[in-house]
Amino acid sequence: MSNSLKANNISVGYGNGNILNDVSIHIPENKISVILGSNGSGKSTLLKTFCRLLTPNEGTITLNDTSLKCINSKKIAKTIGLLPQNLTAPEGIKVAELVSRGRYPHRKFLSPLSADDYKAINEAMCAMKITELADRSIDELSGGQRQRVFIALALAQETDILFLDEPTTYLDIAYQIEILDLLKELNQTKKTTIVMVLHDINLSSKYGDYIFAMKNGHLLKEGTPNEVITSENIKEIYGIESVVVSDPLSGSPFIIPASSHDTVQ
Amino acid sequence: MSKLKPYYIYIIGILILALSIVISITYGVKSVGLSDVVDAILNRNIDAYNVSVVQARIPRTLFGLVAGASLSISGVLMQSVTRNPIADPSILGVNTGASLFIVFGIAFFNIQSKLSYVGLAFVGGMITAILVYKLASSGYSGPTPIKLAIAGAATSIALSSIINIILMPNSNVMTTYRFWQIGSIGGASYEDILLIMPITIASIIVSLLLSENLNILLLSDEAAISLGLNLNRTRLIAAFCGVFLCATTTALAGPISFVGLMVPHFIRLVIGSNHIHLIICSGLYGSSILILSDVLGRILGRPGELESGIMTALIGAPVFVFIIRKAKVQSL
Repeated sequence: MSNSLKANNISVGYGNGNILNDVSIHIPENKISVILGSNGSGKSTLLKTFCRLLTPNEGTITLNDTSLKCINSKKIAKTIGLLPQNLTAPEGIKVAELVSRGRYPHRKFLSPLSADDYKAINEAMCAMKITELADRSIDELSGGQRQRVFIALALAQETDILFLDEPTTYLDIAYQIEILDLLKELNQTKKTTIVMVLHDINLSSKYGDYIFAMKNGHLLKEGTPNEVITSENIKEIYGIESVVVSDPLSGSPFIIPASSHDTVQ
Repeated sequence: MSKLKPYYIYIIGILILALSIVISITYGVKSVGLSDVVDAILNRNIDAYNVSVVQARIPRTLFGLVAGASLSISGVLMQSVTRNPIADPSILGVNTGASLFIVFGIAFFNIQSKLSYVGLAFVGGMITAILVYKLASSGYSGPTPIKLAIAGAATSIALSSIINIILMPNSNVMTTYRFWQIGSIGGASYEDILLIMPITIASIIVSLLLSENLNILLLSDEAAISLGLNLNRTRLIAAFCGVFLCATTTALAGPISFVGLMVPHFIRLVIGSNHIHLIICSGLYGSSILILSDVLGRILGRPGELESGIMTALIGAPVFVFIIRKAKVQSL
């Protein structure tokens, strides 16, 4: 029983102008999807609309064919989780306590953490390999460790669908691979549906099962990495020339952007 | 930094509070012995001078307890609602706004009852809090600690000058105002305390019930929404409680500054930011701080006394400088 999440002809914007225009998307269940697009293409707006941070001016987001507006917000929070781009934590808070905040939608009013809560918190910390950091203060951690703590917070929420807004930004390549590997593991072991916005096309095609390519507030292309990551599509999405080769390790498409200073023809 | 167990902080807090209460009742211009205190409580020997001294000190001590807790918890709530470490009733101008409305009431409507003071203080405080917050939120980077402090200071000065404009030509109002404004907990009577108790207790209970929501609120709007928190409702209720707690105190004692700023800050350092502990401990220690400030004012101000509002400002100003330096100073 997977949850089906859809955007039905949504238009979203701040003030007058719409950033997203008439977008319809069905999030593939139990898969990793990546939303790609140039800056200002509306990819973050799309993700925020799915996560209720923005409300569509037209159209609806539906979960199992019921509009999100008609579902209790804590109930939605048991199904849809988010790792936002900007993360803040109270000064000096301990890792385990921060992760325990993810249990909020599951907890009853005024009751202490239950056995289920502790189990979910421990599993989330285990999955993100931060169990040994449990008693450390968040301020002492490195960027990669912090990011894992915040993902663990979202995992403790135990949602079937997890959105991540640029989870690898500001991290070096080692941490990027570490985080994406952990997410892939999560997707394979728990069948969690993962949807993320990434900037790196090659990492998107390496880890993504499905790609949504956005341009100027429209959904331009969607499909598997092999279908979407072609040099014609890259030209259309980003306006650059490129050569697409096969990643020798994963077999997924790998793009090499062309520069006007390239010397080999 | 490792945090002490909340358990110890509670016990130490209760001990300090008990000690403060004893000191407040026995020390002062006229020091009395414990036997007089026992007599006063048991209503024995009520004609003796020392016993009547004690009986006069009990309401001010009780009010110090209520006011200190109210101001500190008000500070916790305002800091969490704005996610800003320097938000507090005096920084946000809530005290001055409350004062202005009360002066307005005294000067133009000849309002005398303490209950009307509380109402006026609440309305004035709420309007000022919203105004200052909106002012600090304008511009690109949102309400940073520095912008909030500047907006609050500017608004406070503007409102104070309006208070002066109303008061200057009006010596009767000036007299009424002077006794109210200085921030003294000495003038409170049992009736006053009974009057504000229901509002105070209700606000504190609601704040405690809200503590888990406030924990989530501190994460960021985006995280809070995706965890299913009703952001605006939480903010609104917390802001109402915060302004109520500050307004009741201000209505009876005049503006007492900095208690709401420094107490939660230090409690957070030792106990962390779990609101259930933060609120209770800020209340406990806030009471002690205000009662002790009052005692100190009585000792330093001999043969008269220095108002507790002046004492908290003296202690609080350096703490404020310390906090604002420590808060990641943005846009300076």
